[in-house]
Amino acid sequence: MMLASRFAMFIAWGEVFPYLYNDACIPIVGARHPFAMGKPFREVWPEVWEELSPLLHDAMQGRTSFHENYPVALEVDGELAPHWYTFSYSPLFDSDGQARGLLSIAMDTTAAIQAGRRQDVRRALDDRIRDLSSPADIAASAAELLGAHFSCDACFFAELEPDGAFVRLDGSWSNGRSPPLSGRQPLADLLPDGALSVPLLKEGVPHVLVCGHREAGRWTADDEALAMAIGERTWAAIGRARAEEAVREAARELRLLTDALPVLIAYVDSDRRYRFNNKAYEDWFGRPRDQVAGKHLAEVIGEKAYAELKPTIDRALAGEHLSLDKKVPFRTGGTRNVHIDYVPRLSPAGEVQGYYALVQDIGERIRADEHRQLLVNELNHRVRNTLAVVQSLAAQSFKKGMPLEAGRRAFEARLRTLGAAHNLLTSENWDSATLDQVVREAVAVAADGRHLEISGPAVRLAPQTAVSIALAMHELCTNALKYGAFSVPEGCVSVAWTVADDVAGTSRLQFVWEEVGGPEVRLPTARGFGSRLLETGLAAELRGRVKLEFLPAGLVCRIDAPLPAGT
Amino acid sequence: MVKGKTILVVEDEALVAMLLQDMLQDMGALVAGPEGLFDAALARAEQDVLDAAILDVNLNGQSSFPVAEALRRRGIPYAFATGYGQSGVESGHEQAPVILKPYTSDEVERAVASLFG
Repeated sequence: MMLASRFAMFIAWGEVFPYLYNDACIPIVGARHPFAMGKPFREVWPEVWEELSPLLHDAMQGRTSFHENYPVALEVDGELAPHWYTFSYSPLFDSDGQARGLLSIAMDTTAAIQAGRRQDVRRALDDRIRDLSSPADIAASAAELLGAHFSCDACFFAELEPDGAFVRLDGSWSNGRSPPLSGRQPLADLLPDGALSVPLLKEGVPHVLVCGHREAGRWTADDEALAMAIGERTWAAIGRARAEEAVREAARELRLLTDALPVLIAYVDSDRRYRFNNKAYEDWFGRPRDQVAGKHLAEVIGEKAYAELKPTIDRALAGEHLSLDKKVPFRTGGTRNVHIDYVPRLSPAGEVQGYYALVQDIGERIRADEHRQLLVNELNHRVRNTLAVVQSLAAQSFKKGMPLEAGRRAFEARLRTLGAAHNLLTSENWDSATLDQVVREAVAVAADGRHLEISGPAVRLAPQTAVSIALAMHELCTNALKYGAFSVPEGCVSVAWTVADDVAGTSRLQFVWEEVGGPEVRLPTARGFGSRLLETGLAAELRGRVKLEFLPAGLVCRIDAPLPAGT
Repeated sequence: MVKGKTILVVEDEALVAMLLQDMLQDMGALVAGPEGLFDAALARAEQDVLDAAILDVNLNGQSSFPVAEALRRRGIPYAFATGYGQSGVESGHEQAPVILKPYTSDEVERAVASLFG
């Protein structure tokens, strides 16, 4: 019966349980066959005798026992290895009903148990890493699980550097008996005696899973298979996590970059709903991000603006790339000038999935353009007016009957004063100049180094008035150099002015040019350009009175005018 | 043609006003003004006995178009003298000749003569 069965069976009896087994039992007996045949049980299985002898003796007491997945450590090739058996010990009775021996029927369940345990570890791994998103956490979690399962000192994943001598640790676990490892390490230090290392080649980069020394002894092929399976599984999860992390990182960078741009950026899908928008977009429409994302265009930009832009949007969603300037209604009322770029986004099959909208506020640019045009026009006007002034100076300098050379000198001197007055105004941003500056500058140009006394409160003159007063001062200087106080070294011109309210409450400027110490003054026989410019031109321009008094002691010029409008 | 006519000169720049005054007088015209101030110019445009006027467009930042309006109401022809050119003339005054600064005596004479043509 026993010999023909394909169940592993043995019988044993008597005091020392000589061991008799069938062919189906040979795989269990292993290297001990055929030595084991008929030998006492204790000699055949010394490593389990202590544990199993009570069960054998139980059978000899007439008791049948059944053991399911019973773990035993059997010596294979000089090493103890875990095995599992489901077996029964049944007493064999003699005719007196006395148990004389036993029959054992056994089944090696090691493979099934180990497969189940691998399955358990894999499930535990899946449970652990399911909610983890960081590759390092996944590696560390898997290392801990595997380390605990193997009861080894340490377990870690590492990426090998190209030279193979150093590794970078991705996730490491230690049971506390050896120090935890991290960072960049020499590979040799990480592979102590008795360590299991499993190579993992991922995307061309060599990685390794290392399980450190363990008390339980050497690593089996089964352990290695489990480590490999867990390593592969972990690595797949790490790969996915890294890809997801890269996507998140790319999205974060895109967000950071687009939020820093002053341009309004949005992506709108073919249902005309927002799928992306930057900070400038939110600010422009005065809505937080969650009030833009997923909303319809019309809701965010307003029905009015949507109606206005719809034909353009239709074209963008038909696949057209558009670039245009447009005046669009603004949320707080009024309109804004914007430059719009609509860039359609196509699927690989060429279908329009949506479009990117890039919108720039060009109001400032348009205002700047208008302002520049205004300045150009104003410049042209001023240049033309100045040319007319120069033309007038030329006409007055080259009067009929005057010597040409004298006329040329007079014209040049007048141009210099005009140029100096322009310089003064330019330095003041062509805004205004003070009366004090204008008088000093005109005298400095026409009568440099002559004795001038000047006093008066600050009075600001508009550009045109400044130019006229400068030219009037020039004429007074020229006259003083020829006939008056500037014609002798001891001569002096005193310029003084006051500002006071008249009875009507108007601020009036009282200005006096007084020459002293010069030769005796005689009344001129004819009035020249200077007199005319002062008494007629300047008087009209200042809306006041200008009076020239040719007193014997020296020329006196009095100006009485409303305080000129400065700025 | 210009000889003997009384022409109002409105120009705020003293030197330019003197130049225009001299030019007109050399043509034998009589000059009213020159006036550089808006109020005085407007008063003359409304009251003086005038045959024509030459107006600077910009009087110290103030537009002289109201002066032109006053002249038109009285049927007195006028021309503008300006550095802005035709583009600086307000709509409604397009019929008025524009003398672009700087101008020659001939240009002034032609413009004034056209007012009487």
